[in-house]
Amino acid sequence: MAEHEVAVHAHHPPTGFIKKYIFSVDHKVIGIQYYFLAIFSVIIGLVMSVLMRLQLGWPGHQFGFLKSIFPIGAADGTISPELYLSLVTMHGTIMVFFVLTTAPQGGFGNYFLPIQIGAADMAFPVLNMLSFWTTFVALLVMIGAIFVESGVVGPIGGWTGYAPLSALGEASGQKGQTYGVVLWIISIAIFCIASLLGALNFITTMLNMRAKGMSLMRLPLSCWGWFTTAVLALLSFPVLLAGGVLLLLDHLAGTSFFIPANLFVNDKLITEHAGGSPIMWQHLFWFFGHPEVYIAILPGMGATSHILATFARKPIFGYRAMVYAIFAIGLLGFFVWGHHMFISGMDPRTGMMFSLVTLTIGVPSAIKTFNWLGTLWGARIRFTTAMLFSIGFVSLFVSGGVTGMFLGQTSLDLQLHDTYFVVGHFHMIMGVAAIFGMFAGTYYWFPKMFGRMMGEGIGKVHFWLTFIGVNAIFIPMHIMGIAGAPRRYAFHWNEVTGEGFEFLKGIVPVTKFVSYAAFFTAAVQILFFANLVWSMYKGKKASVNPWEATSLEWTVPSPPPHDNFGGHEPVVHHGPYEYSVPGAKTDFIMQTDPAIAETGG
Amino acid sequence: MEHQSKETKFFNMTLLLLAGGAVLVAAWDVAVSRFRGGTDDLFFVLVALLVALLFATPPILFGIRTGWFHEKFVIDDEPPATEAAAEAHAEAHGVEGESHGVSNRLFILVWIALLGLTGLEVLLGYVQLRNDLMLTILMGASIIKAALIMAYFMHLRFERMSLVLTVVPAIVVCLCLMLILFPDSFRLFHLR
Amino acid sequence: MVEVGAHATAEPLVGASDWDGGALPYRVGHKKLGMWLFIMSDSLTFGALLIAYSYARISSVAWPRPFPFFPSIVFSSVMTLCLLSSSLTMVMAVSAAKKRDKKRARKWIFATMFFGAAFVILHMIEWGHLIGDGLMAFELPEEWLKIWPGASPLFGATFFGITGLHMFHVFSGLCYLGIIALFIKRFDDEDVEISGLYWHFVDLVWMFVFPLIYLLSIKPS
Ligand code: HEM
Ligand SMILES: [Cu+2]
Repeated sequence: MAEHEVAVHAHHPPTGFIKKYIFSVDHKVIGIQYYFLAIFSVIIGLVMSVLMRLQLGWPGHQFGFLKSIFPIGAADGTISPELYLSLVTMHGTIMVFFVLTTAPQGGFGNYFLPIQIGAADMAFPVLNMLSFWTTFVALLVMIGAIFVESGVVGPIGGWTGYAPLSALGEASGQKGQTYGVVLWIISIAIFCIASLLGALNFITTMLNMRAKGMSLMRLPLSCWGWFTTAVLALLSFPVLLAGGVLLLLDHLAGTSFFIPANLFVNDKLITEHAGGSPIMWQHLFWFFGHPEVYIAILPGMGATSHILATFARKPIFGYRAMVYAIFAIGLLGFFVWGHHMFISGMDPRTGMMFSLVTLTIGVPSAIKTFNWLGTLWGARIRFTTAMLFSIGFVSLFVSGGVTGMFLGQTSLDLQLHDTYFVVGHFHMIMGVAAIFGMFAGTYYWFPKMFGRMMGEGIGKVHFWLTFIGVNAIFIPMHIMGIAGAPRRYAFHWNEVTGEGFEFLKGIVPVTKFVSYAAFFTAAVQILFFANLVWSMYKGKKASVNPWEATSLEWTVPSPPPHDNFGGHEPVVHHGPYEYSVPGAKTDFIMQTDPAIAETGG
Repeated sequence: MEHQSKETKFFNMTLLLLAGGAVLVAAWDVAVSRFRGGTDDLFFVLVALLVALLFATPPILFGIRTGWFHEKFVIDDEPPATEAAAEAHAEAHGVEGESHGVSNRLFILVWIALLGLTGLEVLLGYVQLRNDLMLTILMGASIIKAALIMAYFMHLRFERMSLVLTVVPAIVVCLCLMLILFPDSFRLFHLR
Repeated sequence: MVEVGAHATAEPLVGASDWDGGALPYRVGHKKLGMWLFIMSDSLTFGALLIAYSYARISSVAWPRPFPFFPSIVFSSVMTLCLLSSSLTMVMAVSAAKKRDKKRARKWIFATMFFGAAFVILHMIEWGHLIGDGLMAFELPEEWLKIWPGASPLFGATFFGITGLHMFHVFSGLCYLGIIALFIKRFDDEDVEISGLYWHFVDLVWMFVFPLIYLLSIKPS
């Protein structure tokens, strides 16, 4: 068999502005591009959520400024139900796809995976650039969906795009469901392609391009997080792509994959469609959807493990167990999608199977949690901002995971499905735990990416205010859910007109409290953005290894040169978390340090 | 040492027998019920197959670890001297040799096998078997064809075992998972 | 546990296994591994579509079986023959490329493209016939409804959807092979082999589409 040689990339730094910053094939530039794409999207999503909370807290009240932003959707100064639903949809879609899927994986993963494994670039640099620009096109199309229809800011079917509403189009008689939803589907389909191209790039890079001595058990846990995420993305996005194609056909070609016969919608009997099944859409969507939630959080888990060990100045507790737990979560993540469909009308016996496997995921999740706690146990912790956010991540992961255990039981889910309890659950774990992972990553890796330190004092203020704020928002939501407040309703009890659910009158003060907390937390994020921009230009210059960490990215200058290691190939001698090793001169041993005997792995 | 390996062998054989038994049970259920019981039968068969998989895992892992599969199924990167000689001989006679130690004749044989299987499938269509039987046989034949294409045309047989173990199980697991949709469709049919 | 020998400077742990870094663990280059990963991913797209088709068919009260053995099935068998043969010629192209015989490789690729194009053209003709009969993505022809009362309109949807996506793959494969053949001087044998992987994969998918869509819908005589 012909020996294949490791492809040698001849790296010459590009010159022109466009080659260097826009259509760059350098993984570092692409990572930063992904990161800023996510920042841009998160701002849109945040504004939408503030508008939603305004409506939920004070339904029926008139706000003059809403009239000027949405002359049709909020003609009398209050947000109309359609507008509200479209806000929900776009908030969810943008946050899940363009923030939680891009920044942790496309952003930090792109930037640091090659450096941490000791490679000069990704395996397919041009493909990498194409994935980013495809994602960008998807974002443009999604933004197009905001503007194509008047009175709404996009489709109204939720981020899950449940059929038959999403498949019906004009016949549904709803705003946002004609061009809006078409653009929405197209955007998601483009995003699928971008993600799976990105994923195969990640997998190839991590398997094929590790430096000498970087054995699998010497990889930083962040790499394992990105790798497992890529595997999940590679195997789940194609299924959503297939579903999206079918949904688009339903919409444009008049087929009825997801539309049953005798549907009575909008005071009309739909006669053109027959024979389909909306449950099939749910299956196809959630086959992707559950792996997707892990796609959002696994990079955060990896980064958290990495940062906890760094600032606890201790080896991570149970490295192998951590790797196996990540794998177990990834694998089991494919088996549980049905827990989103317990009351959809699918076969109840499959529900039992899904319930069982869902509860099983608790085991590897608990392993990870206890190992994080074990790492912190008895450590001399350095409380940097990144560390605070990582500890916050663990805390939020626990509070979100425990409620997942409630929801995973069919009998309890009967009551809790589609209530604010679910909203509380997934915001705790995905909405903030994953975001905390990103914050931690930002504060930790910012010095390497931009060559300057981020403001620590302002960062700590940011952490505490955010941590208190998100708990104030999402813990009451669980209570509202148990009280029976359904999600995706424009209001529960309208004090002005006296409409709504009588039995939910009691939670009105809670709703208002949540809204205040949301405004507060959203406002606090200005600190972060300000800190980010200020530090980029005015921050303290960063040294090569400001955190005294061990992995390879801290052996290269900040920011790293074009080909990362300046042409020479690093050789790895140690595991990634050798802190406070007895007998060593410093309290950390760089992975590349040859002066001390081979260890670990 | 000797004693231990004997024990392992015995253990593995027992497990394989059990796995075979589970497969037989599944086959028996298919033969007897022909899915008249709807989802119940489907479940029964799925569970039996899962049990078989469970039983078969340790022997398979054992086989992989000890290189038994490699010996049996993978042609080594460097063919042994005699084979190389045979190949040189073949080349001298105008048959194209392959860098993997496989002649093009092998590919032609595979192609013929694929044609034969396709012919068989079409023939079955001509005879018009019962639908469930037809489906079983067709899918069986298709899986064999897919395996042939992957193994020979796509060279998977000549790659390292680790690549096979990376590619194939992931696809198989994901596709099998999607079979969980079928109880739903049967139910939908019964509701109609 | 971590041990530190204060005395020794050991050799790096290199070469213990191909998985320990600095080597290609599968002994397969980036591009080939990437193509395999793409194939894994794409096979799940087709898998999901075929499952959706089966789901629709199982849950329908009646499903049309419109393909008479002659000419439809014979016709589609010929299409299958074309694809299978194109796979064989592709194998030949790869083995010629392996021997650095780019001229022969190019000839075999052209043969592959010929068979592939034949497949697409035959398929188009077949589509034309069906559309002529009145089959649409969203409805069945009138006569079919007389033969199979209550038959699901999803027949057309699944048929055009799945075979359409497959045809799209064949078409992309033709373009891909065309580029490889035209600029064969710039590509090495691995590139040819990788394009072959893609082409065989398209063939493999048809091995499932053909029985599921055609052979299970043969018109009862
Ligand atoms: C510890 C393991 C977990 C369990 C047992 C679990 C369980 C569940 C269950 C049963 C539901 C469905 C509730 C319903 O709709 O009635 C659900 C919803 C959800 N979960 Fe989890 N979950 C877990 C972890 C996670 C993680 C790690 C994430 C994300 C990072 C996540 C994100 C979500 C989201 C986004 C939804 C709502 C989707 C929607 O309907 O819009 N979950 N979870
Ligand atoms: Cu889930």
